[in-house]
Amino acid sequence: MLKLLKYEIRKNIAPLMLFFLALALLEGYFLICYSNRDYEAIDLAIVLLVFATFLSFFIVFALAISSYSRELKNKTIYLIFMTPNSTISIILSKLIHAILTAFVVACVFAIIGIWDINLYIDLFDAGQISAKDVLDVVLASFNTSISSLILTTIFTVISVVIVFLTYVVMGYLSITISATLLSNSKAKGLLSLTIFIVFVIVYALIVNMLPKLSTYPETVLEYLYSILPQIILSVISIILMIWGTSYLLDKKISL
Amino acid sequence: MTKPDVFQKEEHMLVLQNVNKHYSSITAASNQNISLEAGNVYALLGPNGSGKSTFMKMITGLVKPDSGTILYKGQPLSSQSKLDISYMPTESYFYSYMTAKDICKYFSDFFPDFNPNKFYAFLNDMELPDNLKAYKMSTGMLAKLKIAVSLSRSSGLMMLDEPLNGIDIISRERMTATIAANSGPGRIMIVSSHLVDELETVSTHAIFIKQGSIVAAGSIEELRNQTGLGLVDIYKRIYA
Repeated sequence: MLKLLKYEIRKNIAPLMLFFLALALLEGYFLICYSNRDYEAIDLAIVLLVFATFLSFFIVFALAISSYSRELKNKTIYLIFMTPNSTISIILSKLIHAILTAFVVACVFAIIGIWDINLYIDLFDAGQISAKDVLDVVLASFNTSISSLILTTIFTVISVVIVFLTYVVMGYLSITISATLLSNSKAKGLLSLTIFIVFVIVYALIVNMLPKLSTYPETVLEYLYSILPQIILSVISIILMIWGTSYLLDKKISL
Repeated sequence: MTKPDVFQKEEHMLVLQNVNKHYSSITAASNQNISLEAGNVYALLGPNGSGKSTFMKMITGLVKPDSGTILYKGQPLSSQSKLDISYMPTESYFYSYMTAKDICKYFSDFFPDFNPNKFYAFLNDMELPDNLKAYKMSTGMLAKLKIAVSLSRSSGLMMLDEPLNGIDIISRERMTATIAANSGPGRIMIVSSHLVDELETVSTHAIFIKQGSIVAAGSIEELRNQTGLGLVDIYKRIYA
């Protein structure tokens, strides 16, 4: 599977680099505004960077899905499926690649965020505030300890990864179902989008019906505990959808 | 000529039993029963849309039969079978970023029987550059590259789908000779082409497919003795 992952990374590096180039241009704009002390433009740059942060979730998702869809369409998927690898390991390598991409993008945004926050604080001659001071303020406002904060962060990251994976696997299954039903038809793109939307709606309806374990969570950890049924549902859904995608690729689809 | 019967000999390396495949209204494979033996080169013949590519893709696992069984060395096809099956499709299937060097690395990574030295010797012989990306290559270059990749493996089953497509007439003779040179005992080679006369020189057996059905199969010598005709004339008789 490591070899499969290596080639997943290699073949998807170009669009990711384009994304980072766009991000670098945005950050460059912020730095230019910062050096010119143009406060209005700085605020605009920050808004754009925050917007890019939220957009990146969808971009990483879109990169993962479009890569799979493109391979099925242009037959480069033959390269992977002619290798002596099981269908499950092929799918898992794609999913691991999606998670790694999301993680790298998140790290890049985190680094940029921390750097830019420090620069922004400096603008107001508050350079005496250190990272520890900021941390103390955060801990005090949430009435929590550092160990609790670390635990919260870990569980939040795990929850976000699970939710992200759920939608990626939903996308894979939608594309696979439409390729099974409409192998060479041009309508297969529209069908996969329709199936995906149906999956999202059905999933949201089921999540809504699930009980919440805590009514008024006061901390992030309590909130995560309250959505534990949803997390468990997501994990089960991921396993079932991976199995479904693998089954269709193994038994039904003509590549 | 009669339709072939399935006869179970121990040395049958590849066996198709009652294999069927339909795409909506099109029959790509109809009750296919055939056994192929090692040491032979099979010319897979038929017009466009007769089911030649489907035949090969079912054996490779890229297309799943609706029903029937395909056995390779006595076992149902699995992902591990692919270690010993080499397939050259008609489509260009390399990632656009790949150069010949990247392709060599890729196949070396996944197939222990891939011989990089043999691959580079083919590249040299075919005058193909090793650093030109796939999306920049011409149709002819890609066709030669696909053959080079497939013939650089020493798999027990080698399938080439229309290997002479897109190759100029001068190179075709050399390519045919190269294909013939890579056949041998212990290996099944299946080659499909519209260039029946060129295939006849390198093949030991022929399989004729018409609308998904195997209408005739056997050794070329037997077919000639039975009909008194060459392969081209047999082809015309079946498909005219």
